[in-house]
Amino acid sequence: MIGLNSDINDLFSAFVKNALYEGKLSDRDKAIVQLALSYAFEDIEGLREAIVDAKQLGITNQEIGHICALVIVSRGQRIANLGQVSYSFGWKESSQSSCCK
Amino acid sequence: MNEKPQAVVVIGTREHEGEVELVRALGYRVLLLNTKINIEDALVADVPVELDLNDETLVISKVIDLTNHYYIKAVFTLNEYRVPLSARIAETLGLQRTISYEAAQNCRNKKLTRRTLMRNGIQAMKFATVKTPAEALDVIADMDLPVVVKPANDAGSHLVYRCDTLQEVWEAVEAIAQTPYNWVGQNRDPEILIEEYLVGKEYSVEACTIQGETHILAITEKETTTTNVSVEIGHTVPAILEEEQVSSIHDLVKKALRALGVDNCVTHTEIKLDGNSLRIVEVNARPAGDKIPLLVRAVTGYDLRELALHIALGGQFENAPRHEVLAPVAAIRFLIADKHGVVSYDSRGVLEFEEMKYIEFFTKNGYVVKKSYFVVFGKNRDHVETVNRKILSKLNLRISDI
Repeated sequence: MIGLNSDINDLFSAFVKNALYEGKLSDRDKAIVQLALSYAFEDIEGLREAIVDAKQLGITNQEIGHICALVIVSRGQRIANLGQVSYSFGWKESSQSSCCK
Repeated sequence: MNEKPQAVVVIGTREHEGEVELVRALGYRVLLLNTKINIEDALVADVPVELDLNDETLVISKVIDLTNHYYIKAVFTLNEYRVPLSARIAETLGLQRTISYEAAQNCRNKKLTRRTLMRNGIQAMKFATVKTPAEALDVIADMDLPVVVKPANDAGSHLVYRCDTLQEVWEAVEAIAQTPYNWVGQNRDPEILIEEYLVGKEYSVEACTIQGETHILAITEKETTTTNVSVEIGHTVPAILEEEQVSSIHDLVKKALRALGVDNCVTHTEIKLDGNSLRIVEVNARPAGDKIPLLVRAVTGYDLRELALHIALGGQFENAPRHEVLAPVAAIRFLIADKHGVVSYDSRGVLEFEEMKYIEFFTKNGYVVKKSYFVVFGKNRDHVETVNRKILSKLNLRISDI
């Protein structure tokens, strides 16, 4: 849809090119980011492509597993914290409310 | 001494055949080149590379690039379409244990197979090549119907027609002529093959040739549907044949492989036997598909895929890997629908047959039918056929209209 506006599309294309092929990160760093994003978004096709690219850059299965673990931890902690925040919030609100009373 | 890690280039894969695992099991690094690589293979391979396998120059350039980092010991493929490419790569790398590119093409291209066998006096049969339906009508005047019309460089029975009338010949040639590419996207050979229809029972011969010496490992008996020549519904190893027939088959296959220049590979040769008349349908310079390696391994102890790799790595027949022989007879039965429809079956109870070693359904109850199968090991042919019938009866496979 962005292609409907050629000016914005050109800017976006230049941005994409810059982000993917230039910048400060090495190809290996970018491959690791790509792997992490594919896991996080549960993007199977993206993950397949990311693994193929990563292994060509010498990223090992153990490293891929570690990246997967980090994403799981991140999401797991988020889920765990969701429960804690909810409980904590309720307690504070209750406390505050009785204090005000 | 070469310090680079030793590796095997795997070109293309066949579904569920485990080429990458086979190479890994021998301790070599796997350099997997394929047009598309699934996640499982990408994880097992050391270097998975996606590229267009139909671009020979690109593939060879990539492999040469990989030689900067790896000592490539062999090139390995089970994929029919990729045998010539694998041979080309191996020749480029100067590897000794490979089928020659010329021989690979002689097998891959059915037109070349026919011409080579004819030229060497191995097999006289009527055939011709045409480019248009009109040309077909000219050449058909010298042939009896039915005939088989097929592309020269496709595989897997793709676009293979049995034609009983001139109209069918016209339509078959027209259909093939309108198809610019084969199944894997390679340019279709412009010459379309028309050949006499070979009558008789169908067999395949599983063999290997190492440094000029051919060893016949098994003869597989094939069961085909009566309605369509190209649909195989089951295979049994070993085939039931007279001693003289076995001897004639061995002799014919060895002569054909020699004429085609086949060496340093596993072969799967399809033949037809009608009384005393023995004819070659096609020669494939790679292990059989359709789970035939499972049957051959059970009955002979040789795993055709392992053997192909062993040969590519410089192994001899005498030290080829061999497993325990599991049964005197092994058979696979495909479950094929005789019409389009929705499948239903009863899988309860079939697992009670201890003779049934594998069963795989590529469909679910209530879905449109795809090819599924089961494999039975038995003590003799009668035993296997009895179990097959019982399993089919228990499965109670039904096809209802969509």
